[in-house]
Amino acid sequence: MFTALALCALAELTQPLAVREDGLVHTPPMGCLAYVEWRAPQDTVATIAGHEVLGPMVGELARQALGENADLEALFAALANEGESTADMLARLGGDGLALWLTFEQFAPVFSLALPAADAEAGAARRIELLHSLERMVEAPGALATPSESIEGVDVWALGDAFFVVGKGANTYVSNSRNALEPLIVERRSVRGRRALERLTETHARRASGSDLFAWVDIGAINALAGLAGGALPTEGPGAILTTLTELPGNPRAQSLLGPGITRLAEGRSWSLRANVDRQSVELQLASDGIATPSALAPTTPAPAPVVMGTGPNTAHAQVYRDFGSMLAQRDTLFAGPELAGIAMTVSQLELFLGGLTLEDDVLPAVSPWMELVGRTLAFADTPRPDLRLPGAAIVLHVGTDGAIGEHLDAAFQGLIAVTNVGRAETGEPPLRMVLGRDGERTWTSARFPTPAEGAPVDAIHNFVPAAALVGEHWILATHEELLIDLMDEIAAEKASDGAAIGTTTGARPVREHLTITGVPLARLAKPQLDALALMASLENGTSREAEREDLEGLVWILERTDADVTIDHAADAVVVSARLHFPLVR
Amino acid sequence: MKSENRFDAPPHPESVRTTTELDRPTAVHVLRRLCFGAAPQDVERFVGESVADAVEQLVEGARSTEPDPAITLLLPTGELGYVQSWWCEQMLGTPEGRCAERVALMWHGHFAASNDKVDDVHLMHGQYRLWRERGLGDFRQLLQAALRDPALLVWLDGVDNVKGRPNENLARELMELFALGIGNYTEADVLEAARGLSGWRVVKRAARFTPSRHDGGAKTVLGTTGELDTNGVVAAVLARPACPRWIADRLWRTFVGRAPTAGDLEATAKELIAANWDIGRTLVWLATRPAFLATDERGTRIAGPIELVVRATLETGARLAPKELAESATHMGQALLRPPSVKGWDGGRQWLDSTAWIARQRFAGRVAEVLGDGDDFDPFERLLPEDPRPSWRVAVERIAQDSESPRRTLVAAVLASAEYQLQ
Amino acid sequence: MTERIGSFGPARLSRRRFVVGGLAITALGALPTPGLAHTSSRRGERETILVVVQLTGGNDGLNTLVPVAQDAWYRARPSLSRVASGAHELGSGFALHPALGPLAPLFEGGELTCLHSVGHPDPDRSHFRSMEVWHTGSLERRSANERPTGWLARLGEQIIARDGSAPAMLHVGGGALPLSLVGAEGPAPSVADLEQLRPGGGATAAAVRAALYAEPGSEAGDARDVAYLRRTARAAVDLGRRLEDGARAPLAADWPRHELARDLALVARLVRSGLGARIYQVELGGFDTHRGQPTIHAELLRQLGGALAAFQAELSAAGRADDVLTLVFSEFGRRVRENASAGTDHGAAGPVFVLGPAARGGFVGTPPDLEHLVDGDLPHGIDFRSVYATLESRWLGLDPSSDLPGTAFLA
Repeated sequence: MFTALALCALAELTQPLAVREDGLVHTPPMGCLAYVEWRAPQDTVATIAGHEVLGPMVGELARQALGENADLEALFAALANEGESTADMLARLGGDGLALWLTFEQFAPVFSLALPAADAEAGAARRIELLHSLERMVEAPGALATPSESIEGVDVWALGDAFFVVGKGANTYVSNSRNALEPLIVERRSVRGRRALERLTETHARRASGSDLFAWVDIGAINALAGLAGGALPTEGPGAILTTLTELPGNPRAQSLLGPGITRLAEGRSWSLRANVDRQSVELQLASDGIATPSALAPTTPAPAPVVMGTGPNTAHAQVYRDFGSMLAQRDTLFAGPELAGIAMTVSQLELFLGGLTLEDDVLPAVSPWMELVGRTLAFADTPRPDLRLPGAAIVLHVGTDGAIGEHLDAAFQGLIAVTNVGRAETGEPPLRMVLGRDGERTWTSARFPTPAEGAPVDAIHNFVPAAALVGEHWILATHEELLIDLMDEIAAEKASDGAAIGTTTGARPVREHLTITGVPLARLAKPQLDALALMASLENGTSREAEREDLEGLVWILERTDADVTIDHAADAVVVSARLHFPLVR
Repeated sequence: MKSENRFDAPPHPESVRTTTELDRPTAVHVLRRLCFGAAPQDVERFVGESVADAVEQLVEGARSTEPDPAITLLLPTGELGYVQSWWCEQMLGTPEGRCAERVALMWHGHFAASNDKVDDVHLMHGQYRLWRERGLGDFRQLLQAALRDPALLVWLDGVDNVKGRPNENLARELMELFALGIGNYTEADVLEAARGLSGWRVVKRAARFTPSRHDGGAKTVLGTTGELDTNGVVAAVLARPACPRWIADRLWRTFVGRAPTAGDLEATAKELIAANWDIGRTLVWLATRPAFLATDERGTRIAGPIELVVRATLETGARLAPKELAESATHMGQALLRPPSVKGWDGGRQWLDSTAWIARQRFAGRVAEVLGDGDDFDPFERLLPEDPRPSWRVAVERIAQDSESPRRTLVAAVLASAEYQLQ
Repeated sequence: MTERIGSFGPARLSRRRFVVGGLAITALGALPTPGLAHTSSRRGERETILVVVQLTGGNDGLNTLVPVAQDAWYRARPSLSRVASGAHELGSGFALHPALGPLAPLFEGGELTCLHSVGHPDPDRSHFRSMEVWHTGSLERRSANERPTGWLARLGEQIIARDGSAPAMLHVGGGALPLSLVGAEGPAPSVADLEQLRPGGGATAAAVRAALYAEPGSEAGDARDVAYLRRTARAAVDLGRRLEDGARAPLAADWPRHELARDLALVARLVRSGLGARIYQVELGGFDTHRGQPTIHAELLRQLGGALAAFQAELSAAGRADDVLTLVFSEFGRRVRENASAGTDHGAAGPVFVLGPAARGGFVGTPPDLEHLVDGDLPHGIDFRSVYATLESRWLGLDPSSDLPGTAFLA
């Protein structure tokens, strides 16, 4: 097979596709800010096309990406035959792999495409095919019959000043700027270009091997460019993602929710993304490399073995690292602005319940930053049948062998119920009932909401029964009493079997956070909320409710067919986020 | 009600040619004043109709319109932003729906409760429903309902007004801001009225009258003596001749854009009484006066931020998200459901401090940016129909010619011009 | 040199007459015509600047400037008196809250002046009323429909009337414009963040400006407000540009990263850039510490101390420290006795701080005596209006808003 042969050749590469030369010129894509390499477009397109989940998902992503990059869209349109989709065009021209890179000229994006071939002859044939389709587009047959320039064996075809094709041995290059291709025409090196190449080459060698898709982004260069362009990072378009990421480390809410992995992504010097696609799964790996300063909030020691069953009934299970102790102790250097006052307010409110203990000195140092989160769907009683069926969620904290902190946390939970009841009394609502549960050795506290009276303004019945308990070295806070009891049993059993149930592996554990999500229950949860979610989105985006609803339905449809494993690996100078999507229903 | 308030129906002293057919600039003017503005197809709909018919259609039609009920889905989030955005979206509905929204916005500014204190989006939305559903009806009923509105009771401490410990806040604003105006009551009236208004609580988001908290003793409010409760106090206020004048003044400032003369005020107050306090009928009458229609009365009123963002969106057809409209208005100094004080927004020249001006210019740029490509129009003709050839047109056109998108540049310049801020 | 408005008439020419004369504009912050000189620094004459830092919510003065030598304080505050350990001794029986460390060297260097027990004869426990009193500089009670004017705004009007300089005053921060900066002719410009004042570049902005700068035609008889609008719009564009220029100036001091510091850093930049404004106000909120005071109060004071110290350092580095006085006030102090929730409730008088080498340093006024309280509150020793009077007449060289004699706290 032609493709298979090409793949064999590519697999041996240690250099990015666009840089590989057949001994003529050895130059990098100068000032390259982003680089995408696609090894076998034909295979990937074939896998995705007709895939019931990936097809619509990738199609939508591609539409959005092209919609926001008019120049890229124009470039692809010029290469496509009449009626040919972008995917089909790429599969056709990229039979031996393809590489696409982005440079900037006068702050305007320039896209260039490299199309290698197996040998010079095949390369020439590909160029003829490509030039013909260009001629058809401009309705000028024969206009590109001869190159407009030939420099030391390198041929250049120019379509006005809008489109350039360069042929060099087996390789063909296409761009909407001659400048971008200049280094391929005439050998020229610059320090800046060489550094970029070295970084790209190094990352490529490390991360690209064996992946279907490899992408690389020079974050440092983009930041520098934004600085030149007037300071501000983009607030719209794809660049806005970078802007948002840049702001995350200084945001305590983001640090708490997303954790040190995601919030550090923008601190790297470059990103690389690799993807592998087959019908049953997609693997994505995003690495942020060259992070200059280690994070005070990132883990440096491996996670302990999880105590909650990682599989089975869980909708979601995560083992995350949230170092609230350091966040609090080092808040001065970590956070800015109104956040500090907000933190102080939160802390002082929490401390109201801690009976004189302080979070910073007493509580947080005793609680391990490695914590587990679990989400489960629960069975519901039929009477009274809840209107709002909330899924169960729990957090499991490791508080160590000294039970004192756990007892304080229990007391704090009880204090919270009492204070909630003061508030409810002020508004005339009946109080929560605090229940101290006991079953053999196990004890726990739960708070039960009264069944609302008929005709009350807020009369939705829900199944929310917050509960907390201390089990051995762990303190659990759950949204539902039954979930709490299940977890107490599981943790006790786990302890009795000494970790055998989880299958703790011996040997070095990686410094890794993980999250596992099962799509079906999430979809079930989202379904009754679709109208509210669609309204939210339509007010925000100015689109119609119907369009947003349709999108959401599509998302739910995908969720119903998708499970995800996400891991975040921490190193001093890098963060690697890996996601694996499974499609259990797809054959 | 006292007999001195019974005015005879006025004989329409001014000769208004309300049978005149609407030309385009007049249609735009009427639609801007009564329902924020108009998309081109709305203008086409009314051009050629008589002024009287057009106004009648808008105002009477407004009574039967309903806002989209979907927002109740998002009230549990407690996010005011959703309600603000959603309200902006409602202001982009049909001309009749927009007319009802314009009137609701007037009452919102008149009663001026802010979520900053009320702190409950359910209550704020409930109050909006009151303005929206009953704003065009009988003002007497509206005022009675307002004094029992949970958001207003919280806003002006009506819930803390208890027998033996009167809180005057609500009583004072009832007289000073809602119904009479300063100089038309005494401090003693405020004190006595506060006793009459006592006894309300807000329980489970509903106003509840608790007799044990109410001061049921005899009191004298504005000359009316009795064991007055909220009903009685409001009736005593409504019986004062200052009351219809106060409401007439509000209608003038909102829809005509300037303070009425004493004669105008008297005539409008008479009309309000003759219409059985019906705001809609009074508005129909007002909108067919020369003071509303005459060419030299047009473009004399500085548009508020909400009016401006809604008008610009309607008139250009720009696809801006409701959220962006609400946020732009906030930057310009008008955060919906968060007026700055009990007096609402001052309006007029107060709208335009430096920050607000820059916000208007930025908004103009933003509208131009999201303008659809397909709909090609002459921004001067469409957006400045009264004077499409201002002195600066040539200078701006010269700059626009050299720009990447001349039409967008022109639209931004027109939207940010001094002239466009007026209506 | 361009002719100044001030030369058109006597110094006390009223603001209103300028408007009638068509020479001035609202928003005090704006330039009548683009060509008019905008800097108010007169050759050979010092341009004095007042920066007001408002601590919103009622700062607990007794835990800020702590009377560490008075037993009554420890007795009244069994839990809050923990701050005594770690407090920074200033002598005379007073110490600064432990979190105000950065201010201690300023006190030693004579750059921090502490005014004891500042308040007024009609204390009120309402935030709104108390803030209104401080903002208007007057104890008069008004009905809601009477528009009170802010004391700073009245000063700004005087400055414009005298110097024709603009903007005379500026509010810096994201919060609502304080009443102190709302004048008879409208509000002072408010800079929440510079992004909001950036009109944008390119052809669109150029066209927008062209529409505003084209020949306005005659203003007389223009009922439509067009000329007025055009003028204020130009002024806004102009101000935006100048603020942006000013805010670009690099900083010399080591600034903390919180909001108050950001706001004061902007003030420092604008002072250095010669923007010409002579009055600035910034705020720090959150002082209403009814519950859990120790953590919140320490955090707020930490921000306050850090920001003020950086501000002073920045001004010194720019050689402008002698030109600027910073007044730090709160609408009231808190009650002497702590409550049951480790907090304090609304009280009366409290300390006021004046920063800058132009003030005399040390303590001013009679120290509060916790054995002699009025209704459990500290009575005032210094009337805040006399502090205003000194700042108004002796510091800014303007007419004071009250007839009260000033307080001697200037060097």
